[in-house]
Amino acid sequence: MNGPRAATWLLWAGPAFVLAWVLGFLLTPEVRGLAEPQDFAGLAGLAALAAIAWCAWRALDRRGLLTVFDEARHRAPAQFGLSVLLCAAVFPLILAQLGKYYWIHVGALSLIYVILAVGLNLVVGFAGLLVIGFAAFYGIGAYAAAIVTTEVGDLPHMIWLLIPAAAVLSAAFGVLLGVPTLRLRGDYLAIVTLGFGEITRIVFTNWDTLTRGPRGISGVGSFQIGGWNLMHPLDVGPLRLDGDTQYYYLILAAALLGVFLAHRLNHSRIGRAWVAMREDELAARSFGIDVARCKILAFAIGAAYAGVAGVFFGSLQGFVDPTSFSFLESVLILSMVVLGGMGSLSGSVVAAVLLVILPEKLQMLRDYRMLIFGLLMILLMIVRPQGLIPSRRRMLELGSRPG
Amino acid sequence: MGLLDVAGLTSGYGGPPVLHDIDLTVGESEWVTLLGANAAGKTTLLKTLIGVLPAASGAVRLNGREIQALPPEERLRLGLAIVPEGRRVFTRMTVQENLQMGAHLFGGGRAEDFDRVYSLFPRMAERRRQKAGTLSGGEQQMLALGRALMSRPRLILLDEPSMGLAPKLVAEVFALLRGILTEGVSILLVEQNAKMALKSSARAYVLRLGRMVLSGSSADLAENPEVRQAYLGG
Repeated sequence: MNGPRAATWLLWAGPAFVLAWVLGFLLTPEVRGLAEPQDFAGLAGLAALAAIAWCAWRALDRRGLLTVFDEARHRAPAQFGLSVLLCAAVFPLILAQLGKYYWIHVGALSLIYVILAVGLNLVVGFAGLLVIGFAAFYGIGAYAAAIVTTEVGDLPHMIWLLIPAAAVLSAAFGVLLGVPTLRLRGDYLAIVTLGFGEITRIVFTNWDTLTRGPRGISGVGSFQIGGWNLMHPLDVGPLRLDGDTQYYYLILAAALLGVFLAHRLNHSRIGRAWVAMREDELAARSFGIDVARCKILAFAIGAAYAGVAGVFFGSLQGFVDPTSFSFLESVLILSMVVLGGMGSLSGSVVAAVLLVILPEKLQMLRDYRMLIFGLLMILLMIVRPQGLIPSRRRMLELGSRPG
Repeated sequence: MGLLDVAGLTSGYGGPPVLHDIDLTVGESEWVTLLGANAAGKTTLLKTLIGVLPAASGAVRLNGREIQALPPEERLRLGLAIVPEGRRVFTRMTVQENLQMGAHLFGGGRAEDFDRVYSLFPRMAERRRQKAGTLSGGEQQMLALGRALMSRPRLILLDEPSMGLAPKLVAEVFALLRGILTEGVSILLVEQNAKMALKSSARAYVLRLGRMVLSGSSADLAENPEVRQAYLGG
């Protein structure tokens, strides 16, 4: 991409291409298992998947699509953002026309993970604090929404108030975890936060009177505006938006706000202090950065993101139980941050969407699903150790500058 | 009374004290050198002075004000900045961002402070958008010095700025320090390169095993047989 004109063209074509790719990926006929190769549909599906995988591989190449998109993005961030947003907006409409409502639900779920990954990226990628039990904060938000809307009674607009309330509650637990671990670094911090995650999950499982234990809580309240319940189908002209679609847009708005806030934070005084602290704690302290405050702030803000994501999750599924906030969940969110690129917000967004959709799509592999998923992760980290969309800072460190 | 007055300072890392009963003074616009072998407690002293290490007992006064109980940011506000051992620039930040960090407490740096640092170090101006990690050792040392100047300090503490630098670069660093001194900034220099340090400074102290064992004018100390033998190669 040499001329600026080519780049402008790419700004619109790029996200559209990615959208087409994702849709193609989602809509590829389900392969009913590798055990029946005589099945023609299965073979066709496999071939289509192979073509899609080849596209993905090309995208990861050093001079590949991802790099080209990234350059275009940096040249005109506003336009690029707008075109990505447009694609995200038409995504459920196309799927609804095709009757693939399940994928709209997966899309909404992936947006929840965008919020989670961005929140964790603030803690791990920016502040450099390796937190593993992040699902605990997610669970606290989800359980807060579930318990309040079922126990107190589902007052029409209460769940809106639960968003800030869950943010504050999770942030408070973030501080609770942050204060005693101030002196811990790296692996030690990871172990303590892992422990915190496990404790939280066990409390969810065993505090029967509050959480109903392993049976979980069903009937979590849904979002309403006046008499309009977002879970009920809504007719907008010729379009019929089902509950998942409306939730998709609601969560899209929240994710956008989350990414925007994180972006502003990254370029603020606090963001710079986090980076300085991550790089050299002693030097940062010598220049008047209150390291303790910075760390606790990172914990609190990251946890607040997870709390908000939890409210959306509880309300979207209508049901919460402890298995949704297991250790694997924490690992999945951390994988999104690492895979996307530490400290890279756009990377977190892309990786979150990818890591939600991919295992869903791999359902056909049955028991081998997680095996292939793990293999793909290993391959990706070998090809792109700096993450899918590395932050400008990391690019220098790992020595693979695009272009 | 000087700009910095240290009286009876004892400090360490929680176990037995590393520094015992240290007395030290740095005057206005004065260059003071602190000599000492490895593990004499030089870096510990500087860490205690800037407040990243708490003092066990004793008093530290800056401009007459007791600061030993203040956190590092308050000491920085009062005019105490450090060029740490091994430079410790933020390698993944740009040159400009590193300077911003130096003035983090003051809103990220005033334009005239950037101008001042960039005119002192023209190389930094050329490389302001470059990552600090890509600079040479000498350039990183200049950047660490520039970063310290961004907070408009009254006293700069320097921890072995000549470490790992070629002799020509060492001379350059010392020339810059003399320039800073004439602007009215005091210098407390910790060095192993005793010859150069004694030549440039007015007074000096010798630290051994956590105690001040000698002090006096730099010229006298340069003639002292004990100093000659230990630090000047006979």
